[in-house]
Amino acid sequence: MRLIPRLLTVLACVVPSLAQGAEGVALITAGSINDGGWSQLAKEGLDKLKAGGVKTTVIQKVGADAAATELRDLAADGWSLIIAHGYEFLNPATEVAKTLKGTRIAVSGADVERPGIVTIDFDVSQASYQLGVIAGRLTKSGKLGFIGGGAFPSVKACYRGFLAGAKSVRADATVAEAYTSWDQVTQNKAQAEAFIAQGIDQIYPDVDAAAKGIYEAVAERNTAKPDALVWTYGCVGDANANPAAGKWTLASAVIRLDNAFAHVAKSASDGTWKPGVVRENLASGTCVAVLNPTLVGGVLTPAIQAEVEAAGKQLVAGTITIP
Amino acid sequence: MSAGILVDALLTGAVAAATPLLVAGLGELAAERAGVLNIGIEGLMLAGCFAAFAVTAATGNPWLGLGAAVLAAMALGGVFAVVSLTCRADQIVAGMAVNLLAVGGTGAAWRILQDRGLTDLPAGSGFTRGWTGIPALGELPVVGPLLFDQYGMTAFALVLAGVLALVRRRTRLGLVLHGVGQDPHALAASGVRVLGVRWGAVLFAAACAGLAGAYLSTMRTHAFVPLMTGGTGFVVLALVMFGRWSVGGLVVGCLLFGLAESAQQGLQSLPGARVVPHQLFQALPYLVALIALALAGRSAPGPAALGRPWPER
Repeated sequence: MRLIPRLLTVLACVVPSLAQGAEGVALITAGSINDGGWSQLAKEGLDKLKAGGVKTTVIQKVGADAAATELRDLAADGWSLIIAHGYEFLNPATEVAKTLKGTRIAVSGADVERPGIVTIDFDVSQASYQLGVIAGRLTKSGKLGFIGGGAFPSVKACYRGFLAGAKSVRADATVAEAYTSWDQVTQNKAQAEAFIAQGIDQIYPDVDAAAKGIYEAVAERNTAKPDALVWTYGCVGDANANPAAGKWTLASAVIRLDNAFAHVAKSASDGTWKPGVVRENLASGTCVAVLNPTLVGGVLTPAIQAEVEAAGKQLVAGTITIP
Repeated sequence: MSAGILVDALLTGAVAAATPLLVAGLGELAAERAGVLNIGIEGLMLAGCFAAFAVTAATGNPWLGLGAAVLAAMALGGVFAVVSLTCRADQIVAGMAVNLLAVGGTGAAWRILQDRGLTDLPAGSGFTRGWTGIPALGELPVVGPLLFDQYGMTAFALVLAGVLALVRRRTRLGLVLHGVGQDPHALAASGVRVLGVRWGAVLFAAACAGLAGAYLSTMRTHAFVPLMTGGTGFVVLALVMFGRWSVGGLVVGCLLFGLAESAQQGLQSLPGARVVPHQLFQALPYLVALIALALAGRSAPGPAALGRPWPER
């Protein structure tokens, strides 16, 4: 007989929390939130939402096979918005969304339309254009290099943006392109060394965390030959303070995930939510060029800053378009 | 940009790429000479790669990292030896198991490191280029970039290659190693402990693989990512065969592969190269290895007892 009062006590504790729900934003990531790349960036974006008073939670290291279960569990816990961070979650998110009521799902890093969910596409090509402007102004050899983790459309768009930006200020500039891997640090370092040997003095990497290899190659070169510096950049994450070559990293084309997450969170709460593709770019303030603050006023002269800013305005206005 | 500088860069890149192949290859060569085919060398390298990074990240001392790489790879090599030599399980299956164990183990351990924020080596804690510490040596024509503008592991690999060649040709140990892989019955009849020799060869090969892995994470780069060895161990297996189980042949094979690896990086960025899919450039070194293996394989009898358990069933 003592069991019933105990059960009632437990229910009394549990039911209010269920009824109250967990209104807020949940995030699932495929990688570790300390991976120094894509997943960590998402966690940092979520933390900024949290700092703004939004209730948040994160589940990391979710495989695509376990994603559907995690999404259903989060929905059952009452989270009003779940952000599945990565293209690999597209299919499970679409499946789960069919069965949900009251919980919205957004898949970040995907650009295809699927029923019932929002996908968030990030266009970094415009910010890459701004980086190209810097590269075109600062290159001595006129030879620039771009290293991509894979020849995907979004990566090629960054190359085209960088090339167009460089050529806008230095018509004879060339950008050598090479595609390596997203995770082979050694391969990326060797590619950067090959570029440097060819006289390339500006290297723009879009290889996620494997950019460590490229930064090491730049640092080794600049330490050995400080009179002929090679400069580099960051892409997706802010690499301006990277430990290997921070002092030679001029700027980063950054995806401000907190901004993108805030946009979908707002639409989920104010009734403007509409399944489809949300395009985040320079105009939305999500994909922006961030200059290295330690180089502003030095190598990054006021004239260069003004040119970068002017290019940004023209890109937003549509008077400059990425080829 | 002068052609000389480009050639220097090509050769420097080739030697840098060849170094881990040679170090791991020399160990595998000794093991195969003793009749043990360890296809788990990829896993042993990966274990060494991770252990070196983890210990260097935790202590800031790369020498401790090197020691940890050797110990970790020898421990995993010991597992292989127990299963394949002592328990006489199939060496191919045991080698595959070692690979899987290393992939899973290092992947799980890497996530623990990530959770603890140990994803970068402390500033200045990895090994640096120019192992002699005399920058002028690196500026010497040809030999500068090839020998001196490299990491210490390159010099070690060359010394090890010389020592192994001498041991093979001039010492009783070399004869025993050769005999154990060629005709273990004859060696056993003359009082040699075949199993003991094979155990020793497997552990030596594991130590070499561990060092090769450490080269990737504390010398060539100062970073670790899961699956960082990227199939290097399998290339080593092919190169040992390509080199006809001789030290000289292995050195040539490693340099050839390193040259192809270095060349593809330069070729990718040539004007007009974009008409060719970049994957073809990346496949170039492996195509070279495949062709070389096919040519060498026609006239290269390996150790007669390679892969056979002892005592035979």
